[in-house]
Amino acid sequence: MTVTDAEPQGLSPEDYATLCGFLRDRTGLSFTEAKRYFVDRRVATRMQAVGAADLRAYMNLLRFQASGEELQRLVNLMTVNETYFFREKYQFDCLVNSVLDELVRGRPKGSRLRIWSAGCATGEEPYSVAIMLLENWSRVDDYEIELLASDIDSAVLDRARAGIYDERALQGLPVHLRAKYFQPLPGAAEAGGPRWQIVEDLRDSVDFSLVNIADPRQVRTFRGIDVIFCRNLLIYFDDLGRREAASMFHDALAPGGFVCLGHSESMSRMSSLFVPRRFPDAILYQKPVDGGGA
Amino acid sequence: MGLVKKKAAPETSPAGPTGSEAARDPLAALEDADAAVRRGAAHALGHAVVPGAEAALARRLQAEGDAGVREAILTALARIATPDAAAALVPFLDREDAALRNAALESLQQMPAEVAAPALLPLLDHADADLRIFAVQGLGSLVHPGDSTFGRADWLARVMERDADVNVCLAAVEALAEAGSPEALSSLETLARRFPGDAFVAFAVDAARSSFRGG
Repeated sequence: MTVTDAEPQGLSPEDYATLCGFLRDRTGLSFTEAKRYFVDRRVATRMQAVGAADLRAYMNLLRFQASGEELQRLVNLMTVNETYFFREKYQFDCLVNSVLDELVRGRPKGSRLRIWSAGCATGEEPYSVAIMLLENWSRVDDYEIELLASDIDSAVLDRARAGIYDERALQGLPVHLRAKYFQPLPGAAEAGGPRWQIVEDLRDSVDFSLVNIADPRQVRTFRGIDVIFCRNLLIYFDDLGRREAASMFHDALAPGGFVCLGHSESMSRMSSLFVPRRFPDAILYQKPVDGGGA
Repeated sequence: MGLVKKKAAPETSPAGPTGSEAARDPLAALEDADAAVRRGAAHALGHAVVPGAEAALARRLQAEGDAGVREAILTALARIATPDAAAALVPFLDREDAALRNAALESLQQMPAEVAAPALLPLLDHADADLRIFAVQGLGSLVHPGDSTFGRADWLARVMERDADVNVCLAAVEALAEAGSPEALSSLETLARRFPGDAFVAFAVDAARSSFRGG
């Protein structure tokens, strides 16, 4: 493949398979033939940027660059990060109406709860969780609640930490909550439309980190988690990648902890390690209290 | 109390090469006392070429009591996807533990057809009807780009025409309906004749016929 043409010619079938196999192995991201145009365009962009003469040279850079910087840049281009506040709100309702009360049953006041937003993109999900807890869980002040958020894309994490959003991201948020948790950015209207920033107190309540959930070494720091939100992320993985991710979540969760998937995803098609739990607002997947071990 | 304020933590890149104790000597780590180390070892073996990995994983699976480690081993074998890995999974289809049995079958189904089919096909002649059902279910869900070389229609036909157990035959009908193999229609008719008094056979055969006709 050359990168000097105005219109990219695309990878050969063999090159495409090699690249996709490499990405799947390193990141868990799975791209089928149907995604070829999407992948071709982004690879061509990156090859041109680094001056790689052909795919072989580019693959060598991806494989052996000590910093891993180029792989990170490619991953950033390959991931889709479209989301908004209170997306699939019924799952947050389930959290504050049912799940948290069950989790703290028998726990002393002051004990810690850990909630992880895996694949948090630009931060709408973990900030939505934070707002839901503060607004709708009456026992929020009785416990220490740790909000963790991760993504494989470093660029979106920077945006998540900044907490700056446009009108589209805030469309599902009631006006009074926007007024309470966001500040309008002065002069933003001239820069492409009005924008708002999450208040500092809330930004300081979410711990964002760069994590590839396909890499057990990186997930190892996530332990004793009570609830994992992983919505619309595993759709980018193949069957085996999903199965491995489910295992990672099983390791990360405390016994009795829950996984919350996107509305089109089902844990029973990925792994038998979890038990589906039907609550009035949503179905979640629970790690058995005994861990599921013999 | 309430929301805990975050702590500043150094960030590591997810893109760099992976490495851990388990990755350095995964065969030894597979026998570690710590389940987390065993899980890591199984994962590492699934992502590397290590001679003897299939046998070591199967040995560990025999004794493993931790559900997470078992799942990691089963996933690793599916990812290794060699004939040895497929063969290592077959004995687990015969286990009393239904969860383990199903997970082993799922691993075989997640392998390429050209690897899993040779391990599953001999089970069609096994004396245990339950194992024959597993074989039909496993073979029925394998995806192969050149389906004619895999011979799915042939073995489905053979099962429906010859297997003495009606439940094995019905598993084949189900696989046939999912695969949409109209060339096996005559075998369906044979099956209906072999079990003339069985209402469920009649129902299943009708359903398969309808699916071939698009409704």
